[in-house]
Amino acid sequence: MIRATLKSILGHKMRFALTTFSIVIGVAFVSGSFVLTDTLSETFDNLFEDILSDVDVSVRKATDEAFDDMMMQMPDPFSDEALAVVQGVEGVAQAEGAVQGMGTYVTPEGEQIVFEMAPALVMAWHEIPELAVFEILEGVSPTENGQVVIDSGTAEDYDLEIGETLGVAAKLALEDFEIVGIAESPGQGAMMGAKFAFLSRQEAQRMLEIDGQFHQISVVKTDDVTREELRDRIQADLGSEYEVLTGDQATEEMTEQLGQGLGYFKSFLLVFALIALFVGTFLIVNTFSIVVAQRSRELALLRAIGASRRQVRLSVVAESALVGLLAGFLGLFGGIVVAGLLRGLIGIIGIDLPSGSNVIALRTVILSFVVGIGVTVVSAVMPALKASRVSPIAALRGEGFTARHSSGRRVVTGVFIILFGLVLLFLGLFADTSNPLAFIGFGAAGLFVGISVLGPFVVRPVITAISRPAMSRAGVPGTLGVENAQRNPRRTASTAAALMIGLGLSLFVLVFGDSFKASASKAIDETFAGDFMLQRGSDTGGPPLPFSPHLAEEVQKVEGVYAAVGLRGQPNMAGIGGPWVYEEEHSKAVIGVSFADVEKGINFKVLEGEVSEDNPGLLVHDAEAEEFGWLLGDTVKMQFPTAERELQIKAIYEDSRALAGAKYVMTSEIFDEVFPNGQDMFAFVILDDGVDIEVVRQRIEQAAESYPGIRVQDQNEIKEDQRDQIDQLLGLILVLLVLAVFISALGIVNTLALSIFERTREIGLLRAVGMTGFQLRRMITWESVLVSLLGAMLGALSGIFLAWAVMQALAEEGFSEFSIPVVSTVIFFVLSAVLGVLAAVFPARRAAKVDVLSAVTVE
Amino acid sequence: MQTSQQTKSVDSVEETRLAAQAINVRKTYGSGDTVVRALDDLTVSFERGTFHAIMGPSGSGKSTLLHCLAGLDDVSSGDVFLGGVNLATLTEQERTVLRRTAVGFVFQSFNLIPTLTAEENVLLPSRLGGQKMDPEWLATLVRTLGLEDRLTHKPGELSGGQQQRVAAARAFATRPDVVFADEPTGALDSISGGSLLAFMREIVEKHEQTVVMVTHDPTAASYADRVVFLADGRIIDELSDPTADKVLDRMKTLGSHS
Ligand SMILES: Nc1ncnc2c1ncn2[C@@H]1O[C@H](COP(=O)(O)OP(=O)(O)O)[C@@H](O)[C@H]1O
Ligand SMILES: [Mg+2]
Repeated sequence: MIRATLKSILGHKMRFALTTFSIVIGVAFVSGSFVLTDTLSETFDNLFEDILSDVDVSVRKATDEAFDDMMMQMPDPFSDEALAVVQGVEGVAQAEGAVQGMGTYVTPEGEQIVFEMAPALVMAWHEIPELAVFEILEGVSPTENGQVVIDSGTAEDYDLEIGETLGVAAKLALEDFEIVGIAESPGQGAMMGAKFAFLSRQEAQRMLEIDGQFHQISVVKTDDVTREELRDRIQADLGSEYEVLTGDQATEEMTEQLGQGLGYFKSFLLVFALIALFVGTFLIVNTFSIVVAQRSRELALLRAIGASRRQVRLSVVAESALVGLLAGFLGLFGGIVVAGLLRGLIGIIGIDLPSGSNVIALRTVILSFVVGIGVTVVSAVMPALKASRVSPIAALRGEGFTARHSSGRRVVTGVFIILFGLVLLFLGLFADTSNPLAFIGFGAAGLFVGISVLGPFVVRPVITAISRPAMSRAGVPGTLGVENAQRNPRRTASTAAALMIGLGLSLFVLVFGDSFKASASKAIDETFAGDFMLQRGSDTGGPPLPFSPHLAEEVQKVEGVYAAVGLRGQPNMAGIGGPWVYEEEHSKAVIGVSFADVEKGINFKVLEGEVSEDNPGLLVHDAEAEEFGWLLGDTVKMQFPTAERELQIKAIYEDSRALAGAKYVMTSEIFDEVFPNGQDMFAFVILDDGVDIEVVRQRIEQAAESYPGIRVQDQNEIKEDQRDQIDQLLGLILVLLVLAVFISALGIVNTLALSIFERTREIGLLRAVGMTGFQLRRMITWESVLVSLLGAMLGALSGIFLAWAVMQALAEEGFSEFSIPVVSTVIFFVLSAVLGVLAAVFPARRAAKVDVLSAVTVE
Repeated sequence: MQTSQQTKSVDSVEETRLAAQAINVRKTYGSGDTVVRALDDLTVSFERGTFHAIMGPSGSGKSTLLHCLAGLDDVSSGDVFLGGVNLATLTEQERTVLRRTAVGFVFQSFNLIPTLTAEENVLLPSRLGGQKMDPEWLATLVRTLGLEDRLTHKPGELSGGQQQRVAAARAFATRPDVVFADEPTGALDSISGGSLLAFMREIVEKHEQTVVMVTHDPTAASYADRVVFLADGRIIDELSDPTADKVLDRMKTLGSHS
């Protein structure tokens, strides 16, 4: 039996290669995701060791435990009196306060260095060598006012040299500093492209507006005490307002946070790996079904000479297991290539991942084989069962397998699976489930499987319909192509179904993205009260970045400006704003605004109460007030990361997108107290009546010059900007989906190649009666294009439906505008047709090589 | 146009009388020890408006001869002329065109494209060439072959005899120089076989068509005007106006020779 299996594989190398390859891609993506994240994790661990090994104990402001899960927050500053306390603790050899914050630099040529994917930081230079992460490579350390030391990476990237002037802005506006040194860190790789500007301690504190404060204290111990003992002593002296960690704890914490981040990243990649495998499964099921059908005579002969059903089943499963084994093996090593490609892709976005030798964990090896063999064997089970059911006589007579299930049963099965998928989908979207994404994913998968089960019923009508417009000019090759695409509806349907998944998800992304854009534009129309909005963003797009609150103050002073209202949020290391307040286990976004001007610049409706400068406090979203039963004038207790406040409700407002989804609004004075690192996320500018808009705009731009990276935009420019950002994100996702589409295109190639093999005599006959090679190629191309258009149509329907469903679920978050991008959809169909043409190239060439005599020679 | 008209067609006045001709044709398969001479220095010609039969023991090269005459296969040496054109001078593309205009085929089985109806199958060669088939000629063929009420059926819905008749209609559809048939009745019972042969006979007689048919059945051969006997890749004998008995006789004597 095994020998028969091997013969079968060797006899059809092409088929074997294509099926294997389709699974290899999926497995490679799985193993690549693991290889990349494992490698990164190990590399980072090593780098953290390098950076932190010399710090015995570190001190920072204690954060309320409710905020433990928040990643990469900038620590809040605290008074430098704590340093004196620490220095007084027995066992402390040396201690030093650290200061760091976000900044922007401007090169002598005027080029702005802002947050790309990694932050540009402004830090105080460590004076104690043991604690310094960076070492001076060239020049001297920054001790005087007006001096700056930059990291060697930035110096290289921007061609900066000692003696040149670098503009640095932080919370304070742009000031000129002289580059006096260039520094390097052994752990630079861990910074992922972060840029550093070191100032003297006072200068750093001044630029960040935290005079007399530190973000952190690093301690070197004496030899007669352990790290743990020293930590406990310091903690005892400082009290619970501070959090004291040993160096090991700090390393562990960073590693953990990073692990979490890498975990998300891995999950994100694995989603695409799963999609690829899912599509690959379709391909394998289809291939084995065709193969079993084609081998029906051979299998029947085996049965006739005494092979049991079990043996027949085994021979099919064994072939699939061999495919899986090879796929697992190739996929494992393909994973290293995939890891490299992903790294490259991430590099293009602007994140510098540290390099390290690839880590191939045993887990990755096992998983690759389990996935490879598992997926193929599971896919081959159905065809194997079919193969074993064949009656020896029937197959020898050449009857092969006709539909075993009545079409009635097929309809019931298909409808049932679709309904099941829909239920899961809607549970995921609308119910409060623990893992909505899994529900949505399985729901969508159910939908796809159900459609593919029902697919055979639509093959004839759909193909007839879509081919009709072209048929008058398509000639005989066209007619035959249409007939061929329709002659085995099941085969056509499942080939198209594989394509449907990749194409459907792509169209989902396109439609969703377009709706997202439309909704965002509408939100801007609704919320934008002013004439301009100020935003900070890198030139390459990316999310908006926080900027200094002083900007709005400056702009307010510009002649012709009626008001400039900054919306305060808190920046974090990831660069995405999102301060949270903890109340009754609900963490909520909160923003700060100046109550004096808020109503001038932002479209939001106060239902109760009054917003005025003389009446600082809290504004609450009406739905929140209702949920917690709060009334105007009530006092609400709020927990912030390092502070607690009781605030009185001064007004209740109707939901407004202008507040970026915030449920709570505070006076900016209070906000700055509880979020010492608070910065503006964006600012609205309203001009005086009757001024020349262009003139005032230029003045505003001039004022903004001291705050690098700021863009002054009117309504249309913001919309444009947002669309660009969304497009960028869509682009990334589409690139990853191309993989699934590619696999399904292989499916077309495979099905066509197998069909051509099956129709050798027919092709020979066509050639004998005068069909040219060119006509033959056209015939096969037609078939391929029709299959791929069928897939595109099914994909379009399911993709649009999915996008619509997800939009419904997100209606509350402001996704109000459902919009189908017409141009993209047309391009999508054109590309699908092109895909069909390309998929036909190889099979058509093969068909053209068929010997004319094969029609005559009886096998 | 080709550089030399000379190489393409034969000048002889006689050649226009001939639908197909093979001159000193050799066809070998394999090489070295295992070489097989399927056709061995064979020369034969087929007149227009005539029904020819080729007979010979199995493996004598009948099919090979047919394939070479029809341009489905290349000869190892020698020349093949079809309607006066030397096949050796044609490109693959030109041969394809020749196949659909100057030649018709009826094979033993599997003659029809299963996805096309009987009528579409008949029209296939002309449509592949982008031509409309002469409706009168189509009507004549359909009538002669008795296919009036079968035209919209797919091959799967036709009996073996009907399928072969559709194949015959397809073969004559473009009024080719010659129709080649390789054991066209081989898979049929004697009644359907007989009617197919009678139809072919009728078309040849009434419409000046030419048929070259391979068969091993003396009765089938008796429908022809002339029988050519083949053995070991050579023509060993010929018979005009054959009857089944005469053919059988001749086969016996030839058989005892070898
Ligand atoms: N494709 C081929 N390869 C090798 N030998 C062949 C091939 N086709 C035919 N032959 C050989 O050529 C000889 C003539 O075959 P064929 O013309 O089919 O005979 P017939 O049709 O008279 O039975 C036979 O010996 C046969 O084995
Ligand atoms: Mg033969």
